[in-house]
Order: sequence, then structure tokens, then C-alpha cells
Amino acid sequence: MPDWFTVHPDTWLVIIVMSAITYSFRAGGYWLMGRVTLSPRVEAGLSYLPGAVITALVVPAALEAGIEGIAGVAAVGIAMRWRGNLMLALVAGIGVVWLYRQML
Amino acid sequence: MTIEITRSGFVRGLRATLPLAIPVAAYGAVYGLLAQQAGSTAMEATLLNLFNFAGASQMAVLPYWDHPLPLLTIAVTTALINLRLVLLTASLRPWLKSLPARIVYPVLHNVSDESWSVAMMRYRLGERDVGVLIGCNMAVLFAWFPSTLVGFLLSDRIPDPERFGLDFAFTAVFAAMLFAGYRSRRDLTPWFASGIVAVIVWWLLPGTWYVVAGGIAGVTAAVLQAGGQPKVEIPSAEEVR
Repeated sequence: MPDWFTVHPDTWLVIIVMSAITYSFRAGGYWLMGRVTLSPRVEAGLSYLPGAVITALVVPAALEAGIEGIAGVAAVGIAMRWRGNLMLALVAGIGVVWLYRQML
Repeated sequence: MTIEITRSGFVRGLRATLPLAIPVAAYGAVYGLLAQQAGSTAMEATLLNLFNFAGASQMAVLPYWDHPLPLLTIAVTTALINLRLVLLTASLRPWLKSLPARIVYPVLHNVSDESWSVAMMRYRLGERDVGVLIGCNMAVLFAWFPSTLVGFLLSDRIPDPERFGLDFAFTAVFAAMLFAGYRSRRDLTPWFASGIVAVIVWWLLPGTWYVVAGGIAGVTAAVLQAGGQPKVEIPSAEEVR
């Protein structure tokens, strides 16, 4: 039976510091956007922020996964444009990656 | 436009994020097991789940989990891994800004990459109910919390999620949201700019600087492309189911 309930004395400080850093990022991004005055042009450009962030999450991760990662993204794309169903797209993408690894 | 938070929105958010439950739970169990093997306890992991709630950073610090814990190393690692969250919540400003701070700031605490990507894509398709964002956040939380404790119950080994391609699940979610949100060729310039810059910075710098750099590059490209024209958002009837 593992030790479930102990919190080591020095872990308290680590929990507080990690949580403070992480929450300051979560609150900070939102807070900062309320502090700056933006031109309409920049404001319009910011509507592309979510897509740009998602692209930045996808591309290196797909490349890191290798050929099956790129094929998986393609499978997700086909499923999404075909049905627009996230579950189907996940099954297609994960299925391609799984199949490729089975063949190796 | 009035911004509301409804129960039906919450349920829509939960349902939209449901497909992520399996991969999130799988990695929750992996985290619990790794934390246990690193000498951490279920209580410590639960406190981190409650107050830090950022699984990638919690996994990243486990290699340093030897008492006395190296506080500075852990703090720097946490900051590097979680830097990306700044851009996630920055992008939520237009959606949440008319709500009082006492509601917004607690909601921000549970924003994760996965729930944010699902919620933002619905926002792009015309969704304005903040209940949806809360539902997306809670779906990830509900899958994560119990599974980390299951990881502590497992004394030995669990199958490597990579065997089932589950390591690709989160990439697949983000890719799906990107394809679902594609509007017109005008999207391609910022996306390409982001992708190229992200890959370069990913090679060069540790942590998630690459997400921040990609996001900024994409917005810069969009601003340059707009050339001062006001952007026209075309709402679509199409829904991400």
C-alpha cells in the first residue's frame, strides 16, 4: 500500500510556488489584455490568436511524432472536413498512428 | 451582445469535450503512477491537481522529485512549461471581458490547452455562452482527477499509452479544432507564419516558448495581411459536434 496522505514539509513550498507561477500565467494573460489599448487593426489581428496558438501546438508535435504524426494530422483533417465530428476525427487520427506502429 | 452563463451551455461544453475523456484519463493514470514511483504521495499530487492544475508541468518536475526538493529548478521548469497559458487566457479576453472579475478569475484557473481549444473553436463558430467554456474545463478536470488517483492504486505497470497511439490524441484534438475553424484563405497566412516560427523556436528554446512565438508570429502576419482593413467575421451555421 503506497503512502497516500503524507505531505513532506518541503513539498508545501513547492506546491505553493508551482501553483503561484501557473496561476499568474493564467490570470496574467487575461489581465494584460485588459491593460493595453489596441488599434482596431491589431484588435482584428488578435482574432487570429487562437488559430495561431493551436497551429503552434500542432506542427511541432506532429513533426516530433514523425511520419505517423503527419499522416495522423492528415487523417484528422479528412475526418473533420467530412463529418465535423471530433470523436470520429480522434479515432481516425489515433487509428492511423496506432496502425503505423503496429506495422513496425 | 450579452454574455451569459447557462446550464445548457455547460452541458454543451461537457459533451463537446467528452471525446477527450479517454486520453486525458490515460495520462492522468500515467501521471499518478509516475508520481508514486518518484516518491510523491497521492495527497501531494491531489494538492497540485487542485492548485496548479497543469499536468504537463507536474509531469515535467517529477525527475527532480528528491527531498530536499530543488525549488529553483522546479520553479523554472514549471514556468517554462506553462508559459503558453499566457496566450490561452489572453485570447479569452474578448469573450469574457464583460463578466465581473469575481467570475472570470476563478474560471481562468481551470483553463487547459484541450478545453480551451474546444471552447475557442465553438466561440469562433458563434458560441458566446461562457457556460460552454466552463463545461469544457470541467470535462477535462473530471477525467483527470480520478484517473491520477487510479495511477496511485496501480502498484506495478500500466501499458504505455504510446502503444495505442494515445500520445497523439492531444495533437489530434488541436488539429481537429484547426480544421473545424478554417474559414478562408485569409486564415492560411497567419497559420503558416505561426507553424514555421513555432518549429524554429521549438528547435532553439526549451519549454513552451515556441507556442508563444508562434502565436505572436501568427497575429503579426494577420495584422500585416489585413493592411488596415477592418476584418469581417462571417459566422457559420456549421457546428462542431
